[in-house]
Formats: sequence, structure tokens, C-alpha cells
Amino acid sequence: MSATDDIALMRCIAERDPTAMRELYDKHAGLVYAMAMKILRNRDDADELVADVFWELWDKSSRYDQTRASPVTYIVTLARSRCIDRTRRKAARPAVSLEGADGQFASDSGTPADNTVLGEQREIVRTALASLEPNQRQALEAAYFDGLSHSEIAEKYGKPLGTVKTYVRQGLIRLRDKLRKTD
Amino acid sequence: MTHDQIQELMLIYAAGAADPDERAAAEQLLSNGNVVAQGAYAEAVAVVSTIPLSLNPIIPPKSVRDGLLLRVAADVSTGGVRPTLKPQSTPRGPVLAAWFAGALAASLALALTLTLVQNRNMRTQYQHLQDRFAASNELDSGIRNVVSSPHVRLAKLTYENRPDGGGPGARMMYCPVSKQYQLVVYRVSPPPPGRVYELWLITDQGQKMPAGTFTVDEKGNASHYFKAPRDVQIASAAVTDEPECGVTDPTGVVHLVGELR
Repeated sequence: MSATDDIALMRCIAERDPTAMRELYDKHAGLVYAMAMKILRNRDDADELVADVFWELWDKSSRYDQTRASPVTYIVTLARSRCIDRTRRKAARPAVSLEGADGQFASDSGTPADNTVLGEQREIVRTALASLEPNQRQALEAAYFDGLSHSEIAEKYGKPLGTVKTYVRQGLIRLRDKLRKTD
Repeated sequence: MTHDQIQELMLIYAAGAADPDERAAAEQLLSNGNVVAQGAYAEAVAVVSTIPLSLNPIIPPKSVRDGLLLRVAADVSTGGVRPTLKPQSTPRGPVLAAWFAGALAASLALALTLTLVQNRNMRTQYQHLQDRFAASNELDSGIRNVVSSPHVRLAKLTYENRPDGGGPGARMMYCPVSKQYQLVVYRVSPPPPGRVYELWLITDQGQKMPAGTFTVDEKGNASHYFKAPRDVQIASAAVTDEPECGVTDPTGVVHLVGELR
């Protein structure tokens, strides 16, 4: 499956094809759920989040513009946005941490070809993230998964604001450059 | 602001790390139609959206998929015009076009390798249900209420001691929160003359609650909706044949039975 396939699926969804919706869900629900578990740290919330995100993809399919982003980028961006919205609405997050959010519940389903290309992509991103300094990675994950601003990250980790800005900026630039090299 | 500064700002903005002043600056650049900013933002979103790809996928509970697909099926069946995708917008200029093309190419290249295929065992079953929905005009407000619930679940009711291999049977869509139950029966023989089918919801204490009578069409299909009181805990369901007026306690043969987990 490729991004072109995903674009075709999005087009079919816009034309109200439930089969395309099934295909899209089966391809990407695992990623969205992993994000939701990582960010929300609550299984029930993650369940609802996945249902909400994919329903929005169906119900508001006209919002997707293929000239702006790939379907995966759109789905990931939408999922993160909804996760952060949900997190901010909650006054307090549960203290329970779901270890599975980092892979213990990883799926081994899918066709061999699917898993091969997915594994390659995952490795590329993991390698790129692993190449970051620990502080850079920590700051980047706090920004992305926790939705924290520079100031909030600085407060959370007790670091000077300028230092945190440097971590995030350098982390993102290094990630971008690593990904560019693999294109 | 230099190109590098704009690119850095857009990366920070896309990552969600921008403080209010940085966010305002980024949004102003974008709303002003700054070509460099728009291109940088598109690339930044593509870069940032790779971060979660490092996570191993986790299969959501089956009930999430079930609920979504039923909701989609109901949406299709109940009609409504779905707009088509936006047509490709005309680029504002060659630079913008180049930026978007580059960003899109980057996104596509990244996405080329992404795929998640999950359990497909239920596909045929749901396709069957969707076909049935499409062919039926029985999607009343009751079933819409059930399938639009985020908590909707699906259970099988089968003939006892008979494998569920495409023969007669039933599916129960239900919301355990609102206690709404929608039974869809297929390929079931008509009840004996003078009798009807009656649905029973059985509590976790074993109490059998009458949930209405129904019969089947010439193809053996039927759809039956029931709303139970909110304070009961339903553990299973069964269908018996009973006198036409229905009864308050089951007396007839049990035809279908299934757990409502």
C-alpha cells in the first residue's frame, strides 16, 4: 500500500464508500490508537478517540485536501490535535501509565509486505529520533505528545526557557535533516 | 526574518511547542500568504507527523471497529449527500507550487512505507450486515440511536448446537450504556402457524425479560428494536417462538441464543 492508495481511499470515502473506510481504518487505526494511548494514557479515552477520529474522517471527508498533505500526515495531525484537545479538557490526567503505549501491545498482524515497509519506515524514524541528544528527544516528545509549549516544557523539567528552545529547535532540525537524507 | 528563521519557526509551530508570541508570528506569516512560510509549514507538518511512526501500532479493541463501521453503514443507509474532494487549488505562483510539490513529495515518500493491516476476520460479516442495511428500509430512529452510540457492540445469536456457517442466525447491535438493542435476523424459517418469535433479554441474575415479538419476511429476515430499562444488566439474549400475543415468560422452543458481553 502506498500514499497513492491512501489518496484513492480518501477519494472513495468522500464518495461515501464504506469499503474504503474499512480499508483506511484497517491500515491506520493501529497508529492512531498507539498515539492515543501514548498521549491520553487511558484506554477508554483512546477507544473513543480512535472512533472519533475515524468518524470525522468519514463525516467531514471534504476537509481533506490532497494538495496540502498526504493522507497519513492528515490523519496523524488530526489524531494529535484531537488528543491534545481531549487532554486539555481534562483537569487532571489519570496517574496510571499504560506501558503498552510504547509497543508492548504491538500488532504483529498485517501482510508480510505491509510489515516490511512499515518496519522500514519505523526504523528510519526511530533511528532519526535515536540520533538526537536525550534532552532534545525529551523536549521534542514533550512538545509533540504532551502538547507542551516551550515555557511549559521549561517549567516541567526545570530548565531555562532558552535551553529548552534550543533543544526543541535543534531536535526538529536534526530530525528534518535525517529524514531528508533518507528520501 | 530569514528563510532559516522562518523554517525553524514553522517547525516549532508545527510541533506545537510555540509560545503565544511565536504562535502569533507563525500564524501571521501564514495568513499573510508568505510563500516561504507556507512551504516551510507544509514540510514541517510532514516532518513532525513522522514522530508517532516510531510507535509500534496497537490494535484497538474490536468493539471500536465494529461501532465505527456500523455507524458508517447506518450513515450510508440513511442517505445524505456527501461532498466530493476539493478540486486541486490553483498554485499562487511557481515558488509556492514548488514548495507544495516538494512538501507533498516528501509526505508521499514518507507515507509510502506506512501501512497497517489488521484483523480482517469480521469483514465478510460486516459486509453482509451492510448489504442487509442497504436493502432494508427498516433503519428507524431506534437503530440509528444504537449504531450512532460510541459504545455500540455487536454479538452473534446462533442456533444452539448448530455452527454459524452462513446459515440462519442473528446479530444483535446494542449499546450497553443506553440499553438499546437492535436485533437483525436472517435466513430464519417462519415461526409455526399462529406463533411469532419473541426476543428475551436475560439479566446476569438469569431473569428473562420479554423484549417484544416479531416475525420474518419471505426471505427469513427481520429487524427488531427494544429499549431496556437502564438499571438492568443484560448478559445474554435468546429468541423463542411463542403465541401471537406474546408471553411474559418463555414457553416455546429456543431458536437463537447468544451472549451479550
